[in-house]
Amino acid sequence: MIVFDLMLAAAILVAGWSALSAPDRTGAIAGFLVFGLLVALSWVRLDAPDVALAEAAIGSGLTGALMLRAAGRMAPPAADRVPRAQRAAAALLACGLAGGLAVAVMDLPGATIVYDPLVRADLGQSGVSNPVTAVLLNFRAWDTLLEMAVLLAALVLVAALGPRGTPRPARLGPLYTPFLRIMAPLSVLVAGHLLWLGATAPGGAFQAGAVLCGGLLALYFGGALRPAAVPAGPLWALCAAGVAVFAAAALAAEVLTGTLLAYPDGADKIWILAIEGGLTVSIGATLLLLFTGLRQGGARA
Amino acid sequence: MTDTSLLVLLPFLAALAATIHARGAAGWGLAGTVASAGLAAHLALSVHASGPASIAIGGWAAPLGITLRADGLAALMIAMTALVGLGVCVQALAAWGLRPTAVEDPRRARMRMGFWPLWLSTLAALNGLYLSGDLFNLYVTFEILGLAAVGLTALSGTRRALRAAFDYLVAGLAGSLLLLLGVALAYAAAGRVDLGVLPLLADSAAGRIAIALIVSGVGLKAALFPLHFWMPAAHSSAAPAASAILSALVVKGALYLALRLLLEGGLVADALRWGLICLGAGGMAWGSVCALRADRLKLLVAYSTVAQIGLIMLAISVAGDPLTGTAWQAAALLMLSHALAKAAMFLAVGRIAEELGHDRISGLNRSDLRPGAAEFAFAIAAISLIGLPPTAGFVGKWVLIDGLIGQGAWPVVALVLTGTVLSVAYLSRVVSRCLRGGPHIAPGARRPPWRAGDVAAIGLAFTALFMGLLSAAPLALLNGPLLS
Amino acid sequence: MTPFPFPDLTPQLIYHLAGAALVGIALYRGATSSDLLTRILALNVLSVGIAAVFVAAANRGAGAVPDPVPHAFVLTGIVVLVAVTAALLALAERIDLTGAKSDD
Repeated sequence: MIVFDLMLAAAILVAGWSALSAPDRTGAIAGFLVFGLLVALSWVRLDAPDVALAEAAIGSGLTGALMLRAAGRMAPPAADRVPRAQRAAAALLACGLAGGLAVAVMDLPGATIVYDPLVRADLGQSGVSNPVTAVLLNFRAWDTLLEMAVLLAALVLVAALGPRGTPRPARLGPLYTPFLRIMAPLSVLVAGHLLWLGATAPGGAFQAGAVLCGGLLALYFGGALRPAAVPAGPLWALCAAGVAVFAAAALAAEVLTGTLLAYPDGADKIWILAIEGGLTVSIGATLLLLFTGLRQGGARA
Repeated sequence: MTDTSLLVLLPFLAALAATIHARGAAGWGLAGTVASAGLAAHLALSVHASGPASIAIGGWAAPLGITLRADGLAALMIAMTALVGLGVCVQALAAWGLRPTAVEDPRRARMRMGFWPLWLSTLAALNGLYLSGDLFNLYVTFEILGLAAVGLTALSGTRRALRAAFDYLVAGLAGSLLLLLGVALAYAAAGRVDLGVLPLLADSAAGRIAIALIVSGVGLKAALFPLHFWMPAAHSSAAPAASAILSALVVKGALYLALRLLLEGGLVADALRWGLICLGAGGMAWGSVCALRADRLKLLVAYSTVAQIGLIMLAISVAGDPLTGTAWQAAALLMLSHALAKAAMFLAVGRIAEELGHDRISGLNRSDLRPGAAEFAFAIAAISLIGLPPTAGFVGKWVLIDGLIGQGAWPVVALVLTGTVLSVAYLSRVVSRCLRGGPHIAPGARRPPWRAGDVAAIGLAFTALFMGLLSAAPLALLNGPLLS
Repeated sequence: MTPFPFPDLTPQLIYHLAGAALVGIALYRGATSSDLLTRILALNVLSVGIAAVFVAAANRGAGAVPDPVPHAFVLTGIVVLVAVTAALLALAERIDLTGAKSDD
C-alpha cells in the first residue's frame, strides 16, 4: 500500500500545482476540484473519514461552486507580470519553508500522546460515542461556537458589500424539475441521517449542513428558490438561529450546572442533538446565502 | 466569574440582533458596547480585588478542554478595548445617527447598518482573544477578528477601499494560516495545543520551527515591518471610526499574542528575540521615514502606527525573563497609550478631512479658518504618542528605558530615543501647520463649529493625556499574579 | 520492502511531506500570481497542506485508532476557510466590477 500512498501523494501535488498554474480559470478550478477529491481520498487513507466527508462536501464541492460563480462574473485573468526578482525571492522563501517543514516532520520527537487517553477517559460522559463529535460539541464546544461566529461574520461582510446584481439562474430545462423532486427531499433526508449518525459514526452537523446546502443550491439553480424575493430579516434570523440556540444553551447550562457549556448530567446527548439540529439548519442556510448573496437586514428589495 | 464568558457572548448576540433588526442597528450597537464596557470594568475590579481567575469551559480542563483566563494583563486589554470602543461609538453615532430618518441618504443608512454588526463582532472577537488560553481557539478568534476588520475597511465601498480590504483579508488569512501551521507543528511535536505547550516546544527542532511560524503569523497580522505592506492602505482608506478601530484595537490583538508568547515562555530562543528586536527597530525607522514623506494626513497616521508597532514589538522582545523582571509591563502600557492616542488621532483626522474636503498635509495651512477642536485633539494625541509627561506614553517609555538601563542595553535606549525624535519630526509636520494662524488668517475667519464627533476625539485624547497620572491603576493590574 | 532512501517510510510520513510540499507550492504561487482568483486558490491549497500535517500527526499507524482532536481542528478549519473564501470571492468580484466601471 505504500506504493499507492506514494502515487496518491504525487497525484495530489500535481493536481495542486495545476490548479495554481493553469492559464485559464476553468482549468484552474477543474484542477482544484480534482485536487479536493484526491485529498479527501488521502484523508480516508489516514483513517479520518469525518474529515474526508467535510473536505469532499465543503472544501472541494462548495468552494468549487463558489469559485465557478466568481469565474463566471470576473474578467479573464491577465498574464502574470511579476518581476523576476520577486519570483526568485518567493521561490527561495517557499523552498525554505517547505524544506524546514520537511526537516521538522522527519525529526519529530517520539509520539507524545496527550489527547487520546483524555478523550478515551471522558468519552463515556460526553453523551456521544463518535469521538470527533464529542470533541466538537462537548470537549471543545467553545471552538465550534466561535466557528459559527466566523460563518456569520463572513455573511455580514458579504452583505455589507452591497448587492452584486445576482442574475436569476436560467431555467435548466424540463428534465430538471423531476430531478429536483427527488434531490431536494433526498438532501433533507440525508442531512437528517448524517446528523443522527454523527453521534455514533462519521458525520455530524457540518457534513449535514453541507448536504442540506447542496439540496438548497439544486433548488436555487432550478429557479424554485429565490432568496432575493424573501425579505432579508427572516433569512438573517434563519442563519443566526443555530448560533443563537448554541449561545443560549451555553448560558442555560451555566445556569443549570454552574459551568459554561457543561451540559446537565445524563442529558448530554439530547442537548448535543438539539444544538446540532439548530446548527445544521443555520449552516445550510448560511452556506447557501454565502453563495447567492444577501441584503442587509433593513435594506429594501 | 459568570461574566467572563458574557464578555464574548454578549457583544456577539448584540451583533446578531443588530444584523436581524437592522433598523435598530445603532441602538443594539450602543447597548452592546455599553453593557460590554460595564462587564469589562467589573472584570478589572474583580481581578484587582481577588486576583486572576480561570474557567474551564464545559468543565473540561486544559489541555483537552479550553480555558478562559482572566488575569491582570487580559483585564487591562479588555478595559482598553471598552474605553476606545465607547469613544468610537460616540463618533459613529454622530456620523451616522441612531435611527433611520424619514428621508435618508442611502450611504448613511448603509454605513450605519454595516458598521454596528461589524464593530460588535470585532469587540466579541477581541475579548475572546484576550481571554483565550488555547492556541487553536486563538486561531478561530483571529478569523472572526480578521473578517470583521476587513468588513470595516470595505465599508466605504470605494474601489481603493475594496482593493485595500482584499489585500488586508489575504494578508490576514495568510497570517492566520501561518499561525495554524505553527499550531499543527506544535501538535505534531508535543501532542497538545493549549498555551501550556509553549515551554515544551523549545526542546525539539519541530517545536522551534512551530514557534517561528506562530511568531511570523503574528508578525503578519500585527503589521510588523517588513510584513506591514498591507496595512497603510487598509487603515487610511477606511471611514474614520473604522480606521480608529483598526489601528487602535485590531492590531493590538496580534501584539497581545506576542506578549503572551513571551509570558508563557515561548520566546526563549535568543535568535528569535534578536530577530524581533531588529524588525522592531526597522519598523520604527521605516514607519517614521514613510510618515515624514507621506503627503496625506491619514497615510501619515497609518505609517506612524507602523513605527509604534515596531516600538511595542521592541519592548516585548527586550523584556527579558518575565518571571523576574517587570520590563514586559512597558509593552502593555505602550499598547494602552497607543490605543487611546491613535484612536483619538484617526477620529480627529476624520473631522479635519470632513471640514476641509481633503486630507493633504500641504493644504492644512489654511488661511481662512482657525484651528478647531479636531486640530486640538490631534495635538493632544500627538503629545501622548511622542511620550511627553504626563501622558500614558511617557510612563510606558519610562518603564521601558528604565528596564533597558537596568540591563545595560544602551544601544537599544538610543534606538528608542531616536524613534521618539523621529515621531516628534513627523507629528510636528501636522501640528505646526495647524497652528500657523496669525498673519495668514483672513478677515471673517471663524472657528469650525463644535460637533458631537469632536467630543469623542477630545475625550480619547485627554484620557491618553491623563492616563499617565492615573497609571497606578493599569500598573496595579499588571503587578498582580499572571496565569501561566 | 521499504524503498530507498527512507528506511521506514510510512503513510504518515508520506502525507506529512506532501503537506510540506503543498505549503511550499501554495506560498510560491500566492506570492507570484497577480490574479486574485489564483491567490484565493493558493490560500485554499495552503490550508490543505496544514490539514495534512494535523491529520498525519493524528495517525497512530495501521490498526490504531487515530487521535480525534486534530480531526476536529481540521473540520473546524475547513468550515472557517470556506467562509473566508466566500468573503474573499465577494470582494474580488466587487473589485472586478468597479474596475470595469472605472475603465468605461
